[in-house]
Amino acid sequence: MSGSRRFGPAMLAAAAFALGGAAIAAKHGPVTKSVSRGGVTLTSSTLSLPEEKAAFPEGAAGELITNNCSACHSAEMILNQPLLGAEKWKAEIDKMRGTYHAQIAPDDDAALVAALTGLQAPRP
Amino acid sequence: MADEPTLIERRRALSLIAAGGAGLVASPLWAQALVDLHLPGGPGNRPMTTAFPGKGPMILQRSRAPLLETPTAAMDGHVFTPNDRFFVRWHYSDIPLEVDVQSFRLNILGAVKRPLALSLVELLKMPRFEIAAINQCSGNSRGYFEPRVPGAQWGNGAIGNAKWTGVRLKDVLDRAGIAANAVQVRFSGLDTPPPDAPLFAKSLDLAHAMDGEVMIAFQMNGAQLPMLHGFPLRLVVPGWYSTYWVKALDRIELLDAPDTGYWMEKAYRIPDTPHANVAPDAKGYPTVPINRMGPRSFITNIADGARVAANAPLKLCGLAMGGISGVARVDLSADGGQTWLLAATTGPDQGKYGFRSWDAVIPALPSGDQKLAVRCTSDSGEVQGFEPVWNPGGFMRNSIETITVRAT
Repeated sequence: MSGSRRFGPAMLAAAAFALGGAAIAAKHGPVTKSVSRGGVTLTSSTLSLPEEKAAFPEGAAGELITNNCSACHSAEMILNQPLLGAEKWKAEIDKMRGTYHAQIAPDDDAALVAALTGLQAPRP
Repeated sequence: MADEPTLIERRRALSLIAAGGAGLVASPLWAQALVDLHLPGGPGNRPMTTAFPGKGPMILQRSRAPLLETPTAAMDGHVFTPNDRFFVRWHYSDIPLEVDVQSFRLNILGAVKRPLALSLVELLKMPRFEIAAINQCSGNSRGYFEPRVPGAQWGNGAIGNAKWTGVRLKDVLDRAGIAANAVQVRFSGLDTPPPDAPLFAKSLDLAHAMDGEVMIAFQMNGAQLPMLHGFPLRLVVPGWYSTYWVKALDRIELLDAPDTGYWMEKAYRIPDTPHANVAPDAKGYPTVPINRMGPRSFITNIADGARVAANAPLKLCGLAMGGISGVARVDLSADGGQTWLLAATTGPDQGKYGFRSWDAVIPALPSGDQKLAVRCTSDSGEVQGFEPVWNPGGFMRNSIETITVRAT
């Protein structure tokens, strides 16, 4: 019942407004809250993640990989893999679908394996 | 270990990208340079990034879910890895982005006499202790496996040592009262799996959980845990791989039967063989959940491929770890292991679970390419060997690391 991560900026702002502190919240950003005991202070925190920059090559193969694989992880995860070959890429697809319930249509498997192995093929 | 990239390395990497060999990273503005991890068969180039809040320059392995590797240069001279250079590893992309210290609760439930929902203030009121302990990813150095295996393609930098401050897990479990039928303790945090995917949860046997060393930490090197490192609480399991060090810990469940969840029964399994080693074509061997770390050692002041002066003394510095016991000795060899030179451990001993720093002077290297190997022997008598570790998960690498320097 921690639910802390769902306590978003909007909720903080709403709470501040309810307490008549909207002007303060607007001026100083999110309300900072801390707890302290015995010389240790823990302060409420947020995390802002950077924009993803890596991408697959333009074209049908890149789009296929993006559409099937990018819901759960950014492109580097695939771009950084060693040469795996068709069999191992197929095993990765099966793992992503079987374990993590990735929404990969089985009809796409052959084309996706071809796209992934093609991505790793030496270019002229 | 990876060095800070030089201009020459950057040029080489850029030319590799231009030749289509390094993989299609679309020249990120926030990637100031590239580093080459020298992974066999490649691709070994990674951008350096300073884009993650609270982090200095890190090797970008994956932006979502974040995988950030510590460059070797950031470890050189640091028994305690600075928080802003400590490696980062999350499994699922939905990681906690906000934590409110007043509403946060740590829940203890399951086979207990009194289920608890502890506030941070309640935890801060409990007796504290500190421990120096190395946090190392199970797959640290996976990129050096041959044949290569899929997974996060780390160099040697998915490792760090910190001084952790927190409360004993034992004290928290005693407060809840352990029921007579409890056998394991399962830990999970605020990160959320994709729909229908298994919650990231890890379990320890009850006796291990109660050993008085396993910690619920709220500080890392004297500061509150950064969000990327699991604010407000993370489990610290000294001597064991990082997979058990659950971040943003908010749930501790006492189990009345061994955990059969995915992350214990299917993932992070190692062959039940010496050094978790199997032949690449081996099948049907028994496996166990990954557990204790073994000894490792690294040269941190000279990068693989560096130029050094021939026929002159060469000072080497680095870090070593014993795993579940302390560092007994560190030895160096410049002749492929025929002869060994004893290094001196330096600085105070911070405890058996942390890094020891060491240094040594090689009297003179003949000109040409020379291989420098470093080997740690632990207090419990474990010795690093030259034989590479191989298993299909890419776990547990702790063979002797060798760098090549060009003496001129």
